[in-house]
Amino acid sequence: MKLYLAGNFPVMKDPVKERDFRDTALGETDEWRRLLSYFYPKDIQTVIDMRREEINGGK
Amino acid sequence: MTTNLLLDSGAYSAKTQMKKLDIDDYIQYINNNLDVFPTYSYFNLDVIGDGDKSYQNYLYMKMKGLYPIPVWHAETQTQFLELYLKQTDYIAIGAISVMSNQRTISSLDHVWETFLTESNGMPVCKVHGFGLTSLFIMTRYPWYSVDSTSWVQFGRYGVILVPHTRSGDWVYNENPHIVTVSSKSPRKGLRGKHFDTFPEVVKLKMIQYIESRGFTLEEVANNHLARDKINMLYYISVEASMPDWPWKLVPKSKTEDVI
Repeated sequence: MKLYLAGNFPVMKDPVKERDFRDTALGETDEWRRLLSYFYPKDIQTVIDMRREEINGGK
Repeated sequence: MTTNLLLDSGAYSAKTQMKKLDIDDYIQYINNNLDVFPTYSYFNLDVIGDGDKSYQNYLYMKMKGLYPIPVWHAETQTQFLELYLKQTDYIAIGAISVMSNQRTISSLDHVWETFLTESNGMPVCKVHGFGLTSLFIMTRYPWYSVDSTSWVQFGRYGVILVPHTRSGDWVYNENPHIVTVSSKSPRKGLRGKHFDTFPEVVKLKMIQYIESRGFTLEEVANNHLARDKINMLYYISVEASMPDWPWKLVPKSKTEDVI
């Protein structure tokens, strides 16, 4: 079973906090899984940007 | 790649806020972000409680060249579930959390046994459980994937989840202790609810768990982000304790405790 973490906008919107949570999770599992909601496009943009960075070879 | 995303339309949020989502805008948004949301990493624009409209939206998105995961709402007509199953090998079940637990379990037992498993109990396709709040439901069925906000919700109420132990190991496939740790909680003083009221030997075990996750009792008591993080780690351990997918659905007692 793959668990996608949903919600927690205060963390999701803040790249420092989101990275901190991601890095903590990756200490225990091999994927950082997030469920994003199109209804809140501004709140999910940070996570999309992080994913795009990863695709383009950044951290 | 270490990040894996799923995109939900947010239909439920839109409905509760009495707003409408435009399917063409949603399609455009996905098309603008296809590098981040490839095939089967976004859901259909579902219409809460309307199986027919949800299905029409699914067909429309496919006609526009997308590959959404269809969302079937528990307790809408099963004919639409059957239509989805003929067209894709990854579906989602939504509107689970809005039902009461016993009703949810009866409904999900029926759907899983009738439509989602072969005669040998193995799942017929990948199934996503939308917005699961119950660990019992999360671990009862052979979901391919699930999503949950529970890791955040518990923390907001000043609560952390602490696994029981067996032979010295933390056990993640049973209901945990649900422990209020916040010093500001109105549950402070409630026996068996707040940390302060547990027997010393149990408190020591709880502190051992908290420290094994890299936190102190003071941190999780006073910092909601620390509670979010320790609860996130709890759920990740639940995930890790599950058998590799696919696994066989085994009919279980309906009288077990539900959280």
